[in-house]
Amino acid sequence: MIIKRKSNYDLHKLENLWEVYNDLRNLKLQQENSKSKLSKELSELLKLKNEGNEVEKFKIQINLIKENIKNLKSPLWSAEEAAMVEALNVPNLLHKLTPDQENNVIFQHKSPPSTKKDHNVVGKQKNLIKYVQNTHNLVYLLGDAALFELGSKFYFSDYLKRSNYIQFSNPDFVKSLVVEGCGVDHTDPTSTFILHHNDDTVFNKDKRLHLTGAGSLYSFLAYHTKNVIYGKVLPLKYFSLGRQYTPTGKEENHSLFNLSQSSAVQIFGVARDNNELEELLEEILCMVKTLFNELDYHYRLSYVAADKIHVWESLRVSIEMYSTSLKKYIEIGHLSLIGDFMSKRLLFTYTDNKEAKFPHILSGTILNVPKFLGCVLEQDEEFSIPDVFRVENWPKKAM
Amino acid sequence: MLSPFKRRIHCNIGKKLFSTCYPEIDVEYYCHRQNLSEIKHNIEIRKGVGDINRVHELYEKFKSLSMGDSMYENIKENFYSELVKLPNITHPDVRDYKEHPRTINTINLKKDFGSYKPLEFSEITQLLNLMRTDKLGYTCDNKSYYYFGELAEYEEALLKYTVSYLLKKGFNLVSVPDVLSRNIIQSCGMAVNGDRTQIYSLDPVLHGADLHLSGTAEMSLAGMLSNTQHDSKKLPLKFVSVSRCYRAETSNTIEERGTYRVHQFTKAEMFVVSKQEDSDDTLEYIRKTQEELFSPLGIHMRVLDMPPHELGAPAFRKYDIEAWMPGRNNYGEISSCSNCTDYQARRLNIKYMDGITTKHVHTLNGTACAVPRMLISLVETHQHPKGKILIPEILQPFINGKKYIGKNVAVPKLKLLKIKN
Repeated sequence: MIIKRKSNYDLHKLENLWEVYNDLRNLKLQQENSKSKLSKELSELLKLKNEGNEVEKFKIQINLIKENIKNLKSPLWSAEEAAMVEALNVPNLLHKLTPDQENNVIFQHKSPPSTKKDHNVVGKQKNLIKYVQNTHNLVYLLGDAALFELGSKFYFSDYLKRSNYIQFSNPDFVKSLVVEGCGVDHTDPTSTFILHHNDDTVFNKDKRLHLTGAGSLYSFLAYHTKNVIYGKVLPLKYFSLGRQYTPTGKEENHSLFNLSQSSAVQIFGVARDNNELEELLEEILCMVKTLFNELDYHYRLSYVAADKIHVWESLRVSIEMYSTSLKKYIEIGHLSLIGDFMSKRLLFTYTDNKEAKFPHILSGTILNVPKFLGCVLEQDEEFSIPDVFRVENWPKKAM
Repeated sequence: MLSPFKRRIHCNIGKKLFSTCYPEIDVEYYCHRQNLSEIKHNIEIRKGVGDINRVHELYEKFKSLSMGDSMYENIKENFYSELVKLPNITHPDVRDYKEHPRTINTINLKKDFGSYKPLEFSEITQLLNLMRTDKLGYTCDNKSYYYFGELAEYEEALLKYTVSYLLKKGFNLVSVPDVLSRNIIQSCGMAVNGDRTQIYSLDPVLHGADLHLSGTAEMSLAGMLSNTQHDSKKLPLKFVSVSRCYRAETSNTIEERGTYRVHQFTKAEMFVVSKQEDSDDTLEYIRKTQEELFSPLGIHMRVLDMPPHELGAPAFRKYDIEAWMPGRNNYGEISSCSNCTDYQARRLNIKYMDGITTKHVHTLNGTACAVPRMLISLVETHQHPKGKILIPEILQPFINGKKYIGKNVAVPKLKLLKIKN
């Protein structure tokens, strides 16, 4: 699995760390055993009202062992932490549908546009995009582009609600432990934005605030961390409309395809087990097709190859549109099977017949608005807002 | 929309430090001896920061130096850093208000609940299972909140209603970035200094210096217009933005419990650029727009003309709208609108051509919908003793025709995991 992922994860390192930890733990257990044995013998002696040298000897021996156990504690903790942290970095299992080498296209609607267009050129001509200079890659969307952003979110939201998905409005910050529990390095500034530590509490690199966004997976995990639900409520089907903040390099060219801030529609599903999770995935893929077919742009769905998915994913379905400026497909959305990888790390459990179990999770950004807009601006046809996004279509009659 | 703007790049803010280019503050007014007592009085009634004596002192020193002098740049910098701290002047009608605001309008009557004692937003949302605020300090931040089910739908409905109304009135929708540089935030009249501040910042070591989270779309919109010049025939420019707002301020007072004062929220904001002579009328236009937006929602409100010490540094005049929140049994500010005259325009270099002369524009801003407090006021006003929340008729089309919100059973309650050792 590690080879398929082309991961540089070092299993030997884990083995070694685990060995050290195990040896220390065994040593401690040995000591504890001899301690209880000696204590037993001592109490026997005392019962017999024996006094003198024998008792003294036992007491000294017991104290010696106690001292040994105490001395073992700190190396044991360090070894445990090192081994555990390494163990937590083991990538998720691969799903059987995840291809080894190349992405596997499973669905396609229409064919790619043929005229070469650059969304930045179109955006400038039509006054739709204005980049912010000299900061992380950020943008103002003007006029119809801004309407496109709101309208597309509302269109997805409406359909999801009609399909009995529950809307959430989430916070934008999460603490380091949530980022770490999602299998992402919480100290890595290229993975998440970390806020400046400016309050009175003591600085701790493991207790930072991260700006991840209300439309990110993190905020749903933060909601469920260390919590229990009843098994009978499963499966859960949630979604949120919100921002996603992801650091991008400053050197990269301005483009809607690599922004630090995006509006997004995020899906979050919780299932009892893998079978239920796969049914949920099928259902969501069906919705995704209905939503995008209605818009009638060319797009395709594919399973992403093992070496291109995140450590926390077992399967990734990519929703892609074709960029004629870059001559390649751009991922405008995705769905990921996560299984129990995150629920185990963040202690999200459900009870089933009084037994605690880890639920299986799937999640995904089914729409990244700026990437979608970028591709729409590069279509053959002149840019216009799809009817279903228009403000006249925001009011709706009763369901 | 921005193409007709002629860019006037006085100095490339990106390349040079802000301190090496100076805003066009009205030095003639502020540094004229004759105006000293007036300016002093203004700072006093606004309880504002700024030391006019120090400004004059530095001005005299600066004037006495020639460009070639080794002290010249240094003194000039000090002079400007003191000068920009001075507050805007105050509208003559407001100067004598002393401590208290003047109520200029009341809208809708307080709702009569009879013998029923109205509940608070946090109690109602708890009973109907629509929001979570407890035990989130460990995973999000203190003061975090999740709306879910029909309460999250209500938020979306409010934004749809607000934006579609403002589009009809000719406002231009803009989607703004939430991360800004210090220069823009300070030019809008918000202090970003050292560690204790109202603004969240990105870690400067990890992400680069000088990146801060926007407190309101007003800052991003003003920043978008910096270093631009406009044709007077195209004014006023009217913008509306829906954005996430980040405020680091904390409060532990009992009046601000629950989701009344939060660190993050969604807000629709209006921002208008006008000719100098039109800004008084434009402020009235924004206030009327707010009243038109909020009146059909059936909440009781009072419109206040704010006294000098409530204006902050940038506003020349400011109206607040306070809504009655029956559960809290108190008024709470749900929106405000300000005329900043040329305070922001001078600092951000936003001008227009008036005949053959260029002038600084006047900038104005107003809240169109700040979600958490709007929801508090709506939910508390329209709570029904039988355990539901009625939705005002005008909002119903935006929430799939629903007439009320009931108890949510789709989202399960959570139980904190107890870990046995």
